[in-house]
Amino acid sequence: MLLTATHLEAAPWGTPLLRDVNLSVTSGEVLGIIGPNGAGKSSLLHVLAGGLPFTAGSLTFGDERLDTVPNRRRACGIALLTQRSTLRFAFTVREVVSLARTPHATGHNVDERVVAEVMDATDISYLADKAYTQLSGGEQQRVQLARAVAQVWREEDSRHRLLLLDEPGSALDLAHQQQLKTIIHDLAARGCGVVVIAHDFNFMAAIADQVILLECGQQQAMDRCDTVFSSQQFRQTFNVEPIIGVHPESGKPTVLLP
Amino acid sequence: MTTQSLTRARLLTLLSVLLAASFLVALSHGAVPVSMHDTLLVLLPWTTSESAQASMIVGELRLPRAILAALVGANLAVCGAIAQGLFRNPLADPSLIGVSAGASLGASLVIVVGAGAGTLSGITLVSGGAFIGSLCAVGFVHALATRDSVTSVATMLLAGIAVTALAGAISTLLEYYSSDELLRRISLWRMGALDGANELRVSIALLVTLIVLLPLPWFTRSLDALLLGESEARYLGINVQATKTALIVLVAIGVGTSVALAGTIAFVGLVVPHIIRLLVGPGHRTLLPAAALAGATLMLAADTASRLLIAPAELPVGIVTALIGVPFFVYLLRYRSDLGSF
Repeated sequence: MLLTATHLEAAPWGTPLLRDVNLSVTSGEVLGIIGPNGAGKSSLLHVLAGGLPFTAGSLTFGDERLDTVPNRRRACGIALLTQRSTLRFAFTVREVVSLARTPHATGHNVDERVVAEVMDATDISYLADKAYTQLSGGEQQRVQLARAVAQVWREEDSRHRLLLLDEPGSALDLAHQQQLKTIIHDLAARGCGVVVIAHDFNFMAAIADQVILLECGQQQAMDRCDTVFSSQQFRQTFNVEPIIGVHPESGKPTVLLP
Repeated sequence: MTTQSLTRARLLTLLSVLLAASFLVALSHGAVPVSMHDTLLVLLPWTTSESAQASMIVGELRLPRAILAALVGANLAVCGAIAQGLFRNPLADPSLIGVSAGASLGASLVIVVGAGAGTLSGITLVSGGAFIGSLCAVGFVHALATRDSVTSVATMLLAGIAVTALAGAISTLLEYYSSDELLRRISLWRMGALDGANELRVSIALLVTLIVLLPLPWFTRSLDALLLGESEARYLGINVQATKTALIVLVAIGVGTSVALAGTIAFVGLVVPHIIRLLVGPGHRTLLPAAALAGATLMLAADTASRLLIAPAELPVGIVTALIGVPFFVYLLRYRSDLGSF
């Protein structure tokens, strides 16, 4: 098991944000997190990344307690793409992606190769020498995605690595949303565990092996998408009644809003 | 990457040459001109100048002053670059966290209580007061912005404004009750001057510059990562709180010493890192050493100008740097809106 959380609770500013969260991610698995705004999805991701302390329960990465792993070693294994990033300094795109190699002691040559590979895989090589500050919002999001990927990328495979993505597709056009799916699939195929927050249920159904439904900091369900995605569940949680169908090609659930 | 390293090496070489040139110009120019030939004879250890006057002017008057100017300039520029990285704002300046105001208050206090003329083995008590004042101000600002052993840099900026205002108010109060003679001395000190350079001051400046500059190679990647944001830097494995505290201490010592030895010198810390960023980008591996070299050069040039403009009298060097810096700052504010936006 790559990451295991049992009875996880967090109350960073005194108010309880997460209560009794139980989840696990294995190598090569994609876990989705869905839920209403303010449900605690991003907080959960920060706790899983080791950036927000939990107050009860246990959290293990590999076979170690995550809160005892030193900062830098943890950063070699876990990368988090946050929702917003405010970089106001005119780094080039290549420099931004290269920052991902900060925790690694793999040497200049390996770092350079990894950065080039990841920029190719995420289709931003053509932006490499552009100033980050002059990119559009969607382009910036793709660069930040590439940075997160480059942090957990190993040349041979990406086993024992965990990538946490907080709404990675929120600013992407259709083509790049499709490409994002491919990137996540490829990473999982290389053995990387991926946890993704998204509000697009069709996107989620296409990529996630399992989803967690979070509401008011509590885990309402954790199962395969075709089990969690039900009209009744969506009515309860989101107060909308969608039509749940089956994608004619992939066989995955589709969510149509009225 | 190779082209980038080349640019880095080229830039650092170019700046070193500029620094050496401005150093020679500073030594040979002044109220009494000394030929470049004589200057070199005085400088090179295996030669001596035949002119005793040249030896005296270059070796004893201009050399300590030029070294002090270069060290102060390097310190201010590097500390400015660090502060801008730390606050993730290209328009930040060490004075924002209360360093200069604290130093002013400390210096004014010493002058007003009448110890302004006192010295302690060659260092005026005014300098000591300024140094202690700046450290107290930064310490206070840091304490105000730290809760549960986490320092918020945004709160630090606001606390810096508050502490600057408070120190300013107390300084004004002191001035209100001072005699005309003391008032003049306070305002002269505040203008900044390098004419008190002596061997001890140069040694202190050199020591502090080494303390500030030598650890910086270990901080370049952390500073780069911090530009992404504090939580991003943490997820990149940086020990953010320790890094922030260490850098704030370095800035306080560096700027505190500079202010104590040379008075408040405006805009070097702001303008120099900017020019370097425009040339080679914001990466700190190049920015920090280049800022040190360029800061030293700018300060030497400003000091030389301050000695030449109304020779044989001198202008306070702080006025010269402000006259160069303010138009540049205004240009940045007006025409580079991408730099200052929050």
